[in-house]
Amino acid sequence: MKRLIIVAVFLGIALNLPAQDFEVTIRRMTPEGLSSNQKFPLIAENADGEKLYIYRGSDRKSHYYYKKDGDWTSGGIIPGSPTYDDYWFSDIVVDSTGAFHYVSEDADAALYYGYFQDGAWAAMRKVLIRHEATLGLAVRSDDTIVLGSAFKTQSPKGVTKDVIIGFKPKLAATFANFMNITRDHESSTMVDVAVDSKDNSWVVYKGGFVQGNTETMQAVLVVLDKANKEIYWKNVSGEPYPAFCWYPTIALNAEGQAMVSWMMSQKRYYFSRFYDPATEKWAEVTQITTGPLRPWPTMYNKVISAGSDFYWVGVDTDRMVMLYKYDPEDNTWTYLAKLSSVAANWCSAYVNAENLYVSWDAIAQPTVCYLTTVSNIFPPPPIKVQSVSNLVVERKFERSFFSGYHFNVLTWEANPVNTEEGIIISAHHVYRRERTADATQWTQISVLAADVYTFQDNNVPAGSDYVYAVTCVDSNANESPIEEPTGQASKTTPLPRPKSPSIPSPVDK
Amino acid sequence: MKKRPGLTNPMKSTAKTLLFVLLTFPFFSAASLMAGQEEAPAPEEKPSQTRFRLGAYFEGWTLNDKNLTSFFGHSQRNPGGFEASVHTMFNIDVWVSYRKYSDETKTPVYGNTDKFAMSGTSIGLIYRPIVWKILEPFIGAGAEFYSYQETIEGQTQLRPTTGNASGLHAQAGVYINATKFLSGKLFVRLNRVKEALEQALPDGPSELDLGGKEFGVGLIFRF
Repeated sequence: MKRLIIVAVFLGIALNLPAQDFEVTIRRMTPEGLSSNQKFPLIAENADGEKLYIYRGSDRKSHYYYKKDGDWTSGGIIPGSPTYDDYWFSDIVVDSTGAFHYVSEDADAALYYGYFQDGAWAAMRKVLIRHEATLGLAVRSDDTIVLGSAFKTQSPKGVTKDVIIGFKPKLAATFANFMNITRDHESSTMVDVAVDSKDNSWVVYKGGFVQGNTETMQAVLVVLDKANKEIYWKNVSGEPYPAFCWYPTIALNAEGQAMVSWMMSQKRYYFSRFYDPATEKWAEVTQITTGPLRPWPTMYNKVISAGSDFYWVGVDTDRMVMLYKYDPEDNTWTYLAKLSSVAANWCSAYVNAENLYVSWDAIAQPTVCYLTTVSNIFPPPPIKVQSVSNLVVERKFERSFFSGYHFNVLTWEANPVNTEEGIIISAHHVYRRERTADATQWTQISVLAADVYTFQDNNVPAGSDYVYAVTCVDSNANESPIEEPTGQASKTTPLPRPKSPSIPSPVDK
Repeated sequence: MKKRPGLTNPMKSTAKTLLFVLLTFPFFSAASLMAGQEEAPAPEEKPSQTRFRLGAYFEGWTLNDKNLTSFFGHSQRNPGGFEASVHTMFNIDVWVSYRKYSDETKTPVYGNTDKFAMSGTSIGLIYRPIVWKILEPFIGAGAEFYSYQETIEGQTQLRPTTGNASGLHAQAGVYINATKFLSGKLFVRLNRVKEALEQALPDGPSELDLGGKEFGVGLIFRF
């Protein structure tokens, strides 16, 4: 019987919802028939296609499933997992090496951190803060993990809840350097974090605002730069609806635009607000879900981004996990699909380049956990023009007896990706910077025709050490990214003596 | 192992030439004098003291500047030259000379022809302490005036360079009188000519050492 249950679990329950361009597959992940609840599942996938599914088991410990090749396998209890008294929130991220970082909470007590790579766990360890509730993780470009959390502190006003962020550098074993980013020091909890391309940390949380004897909870956004200095602060939700906002989440899209979502308790709907840093303008607060008033509570929702688009996943009015997509033209959300087959309590989402994964648990007790995969939902990313291939820089020195000049000869080849994709190249742009200069300090030194595959830089002072990049511009004026040079040789030394000429005819005009 | 052309052959050919002249000139001189003696014996005849000497010579010329000689690939060049002198008093002559050093190579990248030429003008005094009938050894000293230029042929960013330099010389040698009007000449000359450059050479130094050694053989007409 037990074997039959396990087989049933791992075979899963597939439910395909037609009439969509995309495909929705729902799979039950945890066994049915247990006496206690299995709850709060998370899902993540790394670039190698390894998937990790974590949930709080019926024994109140962290459990996981792992999928590398083939089907899911149960890993059982995560080593070092505590027995949670009050497990609630958790989060998971993947760094550039494909390692998974998992943080879970024992609410009002402690945070725990676990690390998973190549199919093995480093034992979970306690993070040394007095945790309160909710947390969020994000990854910086150097694989520093940013943790947003909340903790209780004793103040003259009594016990308050503040939002803090902490950091785990790439090789560190756990989080440290915690800093309180809360302004109001009044019941601030429910944190989510995102990191932009400049490694700025965008932190949203539920902040308490007191006016007279009235306290409201608002979605607050704080942006910290890479040095963790506050560079932006905004009460996102409070302007049109002074009300209680719960569980704010944040996502940044490929253009660096931000979307904040939250649940408003009085309205019992989910709301969002879009922000474009380029124009520094916030859109009006907009309602995501439009169903009838629903019973209190569930507030679990998650805004996510894929390319330039924003999606929202949340437990909606009929307790189903719903999927919406944002339309920036008119600042509205469009319903896309129902992602749960039964009434749900909790949900979380994870996006890779092709699929949207939503982990959720059923509301009927004893609860079981599910995984919904939404395939073919994201439009294929536009084929982007690539920079040239095999850029070679030859450093030369032409001289007479009394004088001479350095010059660098660049040669390159067409990028086969551009050729294969049929991308029409209209020009080549040549960039140069000193080798030791900051990687952003490129200077464009020439614009060449698309059929030119060599360039001679004659403006090379003695002692300079330039590196080069050559980009391609397509027929739509899209330019390929500047690629950091690799393997370009250093200075030309020593000065050459005359020998047989290496280039038979002069190029200089 | 290939020998580098230009480094040893000029020296060898110059040495051969000088050796030939040294071996053959006394023979011709003695024969000529013997012929003269048969015609007009004069046991107490004094050596002639002509006033003017005009001549041409062939020499080996080495420059001290290693950067220059290694760049152009030749440690020695073998130019011809002209000289003139006039006797003043006490066996002292005022002496002038002109010759031209030239070399060329290819630029390292594009192979343009790179030509270096240097005109050398000398002016000084020569003292002939002993005037024998056949041999007149001499020593001398004076000033050197050089004018040099480097030109690169073809299309190039490299610009031509010109310059002047001056210095001193000291020399020694011997006139070998063949006839009353014709002499041979052997000489060695040491030059000290340095030029400070406004712009350092690509090799690094900012001084040009155009001094060096000259040694050669000449034919002098006296009158």
